[in-house]
Amino acid sequence: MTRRIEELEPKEILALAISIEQANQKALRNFSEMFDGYNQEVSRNFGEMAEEEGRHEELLQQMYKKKYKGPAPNIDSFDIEGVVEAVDLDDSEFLIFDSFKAQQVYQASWEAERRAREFYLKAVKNVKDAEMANLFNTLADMEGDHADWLEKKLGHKGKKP
Amino acid sequence: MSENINPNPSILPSPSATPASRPLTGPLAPPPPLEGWRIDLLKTFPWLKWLVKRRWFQFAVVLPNLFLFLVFLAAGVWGTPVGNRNILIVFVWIFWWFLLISAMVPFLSRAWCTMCPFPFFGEWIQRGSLTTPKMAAPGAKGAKVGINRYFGWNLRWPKALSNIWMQNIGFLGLCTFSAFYLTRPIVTVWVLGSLIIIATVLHVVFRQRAFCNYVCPVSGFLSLYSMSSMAEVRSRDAEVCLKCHDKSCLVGSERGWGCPWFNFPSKMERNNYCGMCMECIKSCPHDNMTVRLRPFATDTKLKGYDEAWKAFIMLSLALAYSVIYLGPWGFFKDLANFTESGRGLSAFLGYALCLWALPMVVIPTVFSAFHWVARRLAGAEPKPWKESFLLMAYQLVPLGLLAWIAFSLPLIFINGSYILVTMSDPFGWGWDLFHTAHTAWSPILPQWMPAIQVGILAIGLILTLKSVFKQAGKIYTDNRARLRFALPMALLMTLIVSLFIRLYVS
Ligand code: SF4
Ligand code: SF4
Ligand code: SF4
Repeated sequence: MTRRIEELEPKEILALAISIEQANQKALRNFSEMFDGYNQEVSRNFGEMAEEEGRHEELLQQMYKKKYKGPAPNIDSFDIEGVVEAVDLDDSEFLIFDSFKAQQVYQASWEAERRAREFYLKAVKNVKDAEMANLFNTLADMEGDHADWLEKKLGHKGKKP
Repeated sequence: MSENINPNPSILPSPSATPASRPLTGPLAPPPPLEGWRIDLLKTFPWLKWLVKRRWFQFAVVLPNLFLFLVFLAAGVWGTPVGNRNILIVFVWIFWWFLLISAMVPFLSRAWCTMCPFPFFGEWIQRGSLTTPKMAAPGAKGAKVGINRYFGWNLRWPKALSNIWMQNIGFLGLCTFSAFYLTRPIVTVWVLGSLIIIATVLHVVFRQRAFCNYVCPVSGFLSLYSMSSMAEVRSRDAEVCLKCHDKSCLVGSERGWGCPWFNFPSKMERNNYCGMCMECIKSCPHDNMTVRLRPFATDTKLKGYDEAWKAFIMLSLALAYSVIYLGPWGFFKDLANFTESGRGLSAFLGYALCLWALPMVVIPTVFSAFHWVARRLAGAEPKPWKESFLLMAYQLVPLGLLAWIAFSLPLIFINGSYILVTMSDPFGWGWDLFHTAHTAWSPILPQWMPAIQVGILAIGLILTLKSVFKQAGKIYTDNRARLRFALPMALLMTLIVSLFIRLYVS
C-alpha cells in the first residue's frame, strides 16, 4: 500500500530521501556500465553523476545522524505515491543509432534534481507541521543547489537546458 | 477482454507547482498517450507468461527450427535440383514467406526473430551459454556488457553504419538475383548458408545482435512492417520504470540478459528493433514488461531516411515481383533468370538497373514531387521537410505490407499443393512419408484470387487514406492547410493502389 509523502514521519522522509539517492546512484552506475566499452565519455559522465549522488546521500546521512538515533527506517520510493527524484533516459533506441551524447547525462540528472525540488516544494504546501515544512524546504534547497550546479555544467558546455 | 491502460499515470506532481518550473520534455515527462486499445496478453493468459518467463523458452523454439533448417539445407545439397520438388525451395520461399508476411508480421510482429536459427551459433558463442545468463565478475573471463558477461570481441558497431542502409542494399541485392535462388536449391543453400556464417562471425566480433540490427537482409522489412503489427512488447507502467534503479531490461541481471537488440525496453515506443526474445520480460525485477495486443498500424514514426527508403524498396519490389512472377509477361521473368532463358548478361544488367532505379530513384522522386506539391498547396508555415517527408513516407508501411500480402496469397493458394508433395518427399527421391507425394497440382480458388487481392488492397487504401489525413494534422494545425496538404498525398496513395489493382486484375 503506497502512502503520500505528506503522510510520512519526518524521520521517514529523510530515510526516503537517502534511499532515493542510493537508488539513483545505482541507476547511474548501471547506465555507466552499459556504456563502458561503448562510449567511454558517456560512461565516465554517468560514473561522475553517480559519485555526485553519493555525496548527496552522505549529506543526508549526516543530517539524519544529527537528528535521529538508530538506523533509518526501511522505506523507498516504491512505498510512496509519485516520483520524487529519478534519473532516466528518454529514448529506447540511443544504442541502436549510437546517438547518445555525453552532455545528455547532465541533462538527465538536471531534470531529476529539478523535479525533486518541485516535488519537495509542493509537499511543503501540503503540510501543517512546521518541522516537516522545514525539512521539505531544506531538501528542496539541496536539490535546487544540485540543479544549479548541473545547470552551470551544461552552460559551460554551451548548452543550457 | 480489453484492458484499459492508463497511458498517463500521475507519475509526477504537476510542473506548475512552482512558478520557476518549465514543462519537462526529457525522460521524466509523462509518456505520450497510447492510441487505441491494448490487451495485456501476459495478464490475460497466465500460461503464456509462465512460458515466456522460462529460461529455456527461446532455446526451445529455436531448436526445432534449427533442425528443420539443417534438413532443408541438406535437401538443397543432396536433393533434387528441380525447384518445386525440393522442400528447401517450397518451404522457404513459398510456405515460410507466406506465413511470415501474411500471418507472423501482421499479428505477431517479429516473432520470427524469436525462433530464427541464423544467430543461434553466434549467440551461443557470445554468451557461452544456451539458456542461463552469466554475470560479469571481477577477474572472470569474458567481457562485460551492462552487468552480464559475454565472450567474443564485443566490439562497438561503427557509428557510420548504425542504420539500416546495409540492410536496404543487401535486401535489394538479394532480390536482384531472386530468380536464381527461387528456382535452384543449391543457390538457396549458398544464400542461407552464407547468412548463418556471416551472422556467427559478426556475433563473435561485435556486441550482441549487431548482425540482426544492421546486417540481416530479412531484418529490414521485419523492422519496417512490424510497426503495423498487432503485437508489441512494452513496459506496463512508466512510473514503475522511473522508480526502478536496476534497469535490468537494459543492463541485464541474473534472471535475463540485457536487451540483445540494444533497446532500452522500458522506453520502447515502436516495434522496429525488438526481436521479441523475451529477455526483458524475464530480467525485469518488477514484472513490468509485457506483450500486448493492439490495433493494426499503431507505430507511426519513421526515424530516418534509411527507414523511409526501406518503405520505398519494399513497395517497389512488391510492384516489380507482381510484374515478374504473377504477371502474364514471360519476358520479364526471362530477364531475371537470364542463364536459363538464354537472354544475355546485358539484358540481365538492364533488368537489375531498372530494379534498383525504381526504389532508389524513381519512386522516391515521384513521392518527393507529390510531397513538394502538398507543402506548396498547404501554404501555411510547414514543419521541416524531413519531418513531413518521414510522416508521409510512413503511409507506405501499412500499404506496403498489405500489398505484399496481396502478392503472396497466390503463392500459397496456387502452389500450395507443392507443400504437400515435398513434405512427403523432401529430397525428391521418390519417398512418400505422409502419402501426399503424389498430390496433383490443384490451385485453390484461382478465379477468386484477383477479387481477394483487390479486397486486401482496398483495406490498405482505406487505412492509408485515414492515416494520411491524421498525420497531416501533425504537420499543420490549421484545418484548411491540413486538407490541402493531405489531398496530393492521398492522390498518390490512390494511384499506387490503382496500379497494383490493375496488375492483379489484368
Ligand atoms: S534479424 Fe534476421 S537473423 Fe536476426 S533473428 Fe531476425 S531474421 Fe533472424
Ligand atoms: S527493469 Fe523493468 S521496471 Fe526497471 S526500467 Fe526496465 S522495464 Fe522498467
Ligand atoms: S529484450 Fe525485450 S525489447 Fe529487447 S528484443 Fe528482447 S523482447 Fe524486445
